[in-house]
Amino acid sequence: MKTLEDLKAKQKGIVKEVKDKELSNHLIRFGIGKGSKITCNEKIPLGPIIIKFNLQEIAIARNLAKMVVLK
Amino acid sequence: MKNIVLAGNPNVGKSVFFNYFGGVYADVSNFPGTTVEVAKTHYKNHQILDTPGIYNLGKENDEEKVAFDIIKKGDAILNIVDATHLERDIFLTLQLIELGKPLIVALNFMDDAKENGVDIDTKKLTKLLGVDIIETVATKNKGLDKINFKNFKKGHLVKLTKIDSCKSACNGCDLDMFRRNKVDNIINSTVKYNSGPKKVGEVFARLSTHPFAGVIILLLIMYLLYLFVGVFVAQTVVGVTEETIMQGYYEPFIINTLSNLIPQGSAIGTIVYGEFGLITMTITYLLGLLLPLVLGFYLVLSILEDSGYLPRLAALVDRLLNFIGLNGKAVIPLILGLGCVTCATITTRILKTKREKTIATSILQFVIPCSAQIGVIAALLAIAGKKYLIGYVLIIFIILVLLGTILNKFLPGKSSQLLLHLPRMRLPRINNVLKKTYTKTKCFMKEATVWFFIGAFIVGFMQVTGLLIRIQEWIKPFVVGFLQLPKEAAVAFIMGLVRRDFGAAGFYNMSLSPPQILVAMVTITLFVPCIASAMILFKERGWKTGSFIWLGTWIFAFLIGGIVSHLII
Repeated sequence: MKTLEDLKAKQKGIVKEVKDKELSNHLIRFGIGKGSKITCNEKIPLGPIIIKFNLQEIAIARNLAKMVVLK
Repeated sequence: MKNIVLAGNPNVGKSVFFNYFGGVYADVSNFPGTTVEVAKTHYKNHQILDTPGIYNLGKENDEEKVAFDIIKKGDAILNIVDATHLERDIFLTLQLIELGKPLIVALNFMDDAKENGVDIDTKKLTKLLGVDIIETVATKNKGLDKINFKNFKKGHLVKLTKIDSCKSACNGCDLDMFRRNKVDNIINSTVKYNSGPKKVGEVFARLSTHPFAGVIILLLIMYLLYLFVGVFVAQTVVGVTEETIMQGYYEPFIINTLSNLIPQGSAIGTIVYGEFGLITMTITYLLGLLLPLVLGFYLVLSILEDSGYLPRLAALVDRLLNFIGLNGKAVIPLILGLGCVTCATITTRILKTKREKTIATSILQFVIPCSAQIGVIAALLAIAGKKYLIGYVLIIFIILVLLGTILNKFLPGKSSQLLLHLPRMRLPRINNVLKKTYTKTKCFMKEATVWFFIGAFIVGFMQVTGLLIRIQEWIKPFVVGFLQLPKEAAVAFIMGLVRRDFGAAGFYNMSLSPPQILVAMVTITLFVPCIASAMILFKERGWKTGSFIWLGTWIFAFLIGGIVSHLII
């Protein structure tokens, strides 16, 4: 199972499922849900992952990124 | 008269609109969570209310609760949205339409949207939402005059019945899914993202979170800050303002003039223009020492804020803050604390859990020195030498980590994980930066002035009544024996009770050896927060946690001060 955590910098992915309900609720307000195309803009070593969605940039902690399953 | 509420996501420019309508307070920043207090103003017979930025109309956090309460009371809503990411902002717009209140939507940042290749079919969007949509560039004052308060309209309540029945059935959760689909449909038919050219801000944004370049940039910023505030302002500028102007011309002039009216050495004379005089020492500290330092610090802070650097910094240091039970977001109150601990304590509201708020507040109140204090400390440590400056930074840093680690270990519960929207970075606008520097400095000085006079009066009164000497003698074994400082240091601590920077300034004209300077600076940094800060502490954290932190600073400060003293003197 591939998650957001597995993306390397500059790689793209399509969201399949967000496993954590609270995280899913938050992401949905940014517009990110099933089928959203996201890009990993930066991976801070041991730290958060910065994703790009359209023109938005969002920093997500590693542990939360694990909950975002990709296609 | 109508109550018109400004509502929108964080960082969409609500405060700029608020300023346009005549509100004066609003602190415009490029990071979420600035508007934590409610502000209102009057414009053309209407009352305009500002709200904190929210992503969702609900009660999930403090900002949402405050915003929802104000929005519910409003007669009409001016919803400000960021044109560069409507898929995010229209979500709230839909919720506002569902409320059934008349609405106007301001499509802000139209210039950024165009530059980034975002095509928006405003006409179609107007038709789909059923409310007026005005294109604006608030920071350049474009389009705001087209907002007509007569045109507030209730939007299209699409399938309201379905929403109503869903609300009762599933507690609102799948309702979000329903709204999301609706928003996605609207966006798909009205917004097109074409690739735009890369801009300077974007390149810098990339670098600022780059694992290697990001750290270099951070170190560079800190070094420049030290050079500007710690060296240039604290030594060169203060040298002129405090020593040459205030102590060279102003004080002798005052003493000469007044000694004819009020005899020198009399009770009133001592209080007014004596050693701790109200119009000698107090004015010198305020204008010669504090003003240039605070001004210099807020100038740098305003540039950092306006550029949008702070949220990037939050992402960069997230992992480090995890060790002390915080996430990256906490870097915002901690950095603001370097400006004013009082204001920063209020900003801890942007943190999610009570546990994080307590940890951040404790660190602020225990270890973070405010701008005025840093200035005085930097100036004194510059006299002591580089070795002592590095020693000071190390000691304070170790204590910060220790305190955070202990609290993280013993406070119950779990801290939240970072999920932070990073605003676009932009070149700081001079106008904005100057305005912000002015507002913040004014706010700081206004508060400081009152407490400085109160503090000087108390110390002057104690001097005249002989109480000062008695207290000095009384705590002499402690100050001289344990901290190994001169007995006059007691005065600085009494001054520090009122304001820490006032206390630090009290050491300024004392003859201390370099190790003594270090002990004094460590102790006064850790010492009790100033009165204003303590009041906010009790208000935000409650009496129990508040008293614990407040009393803790006493014990902590003198204990660490004593240990350092015995290690180096």
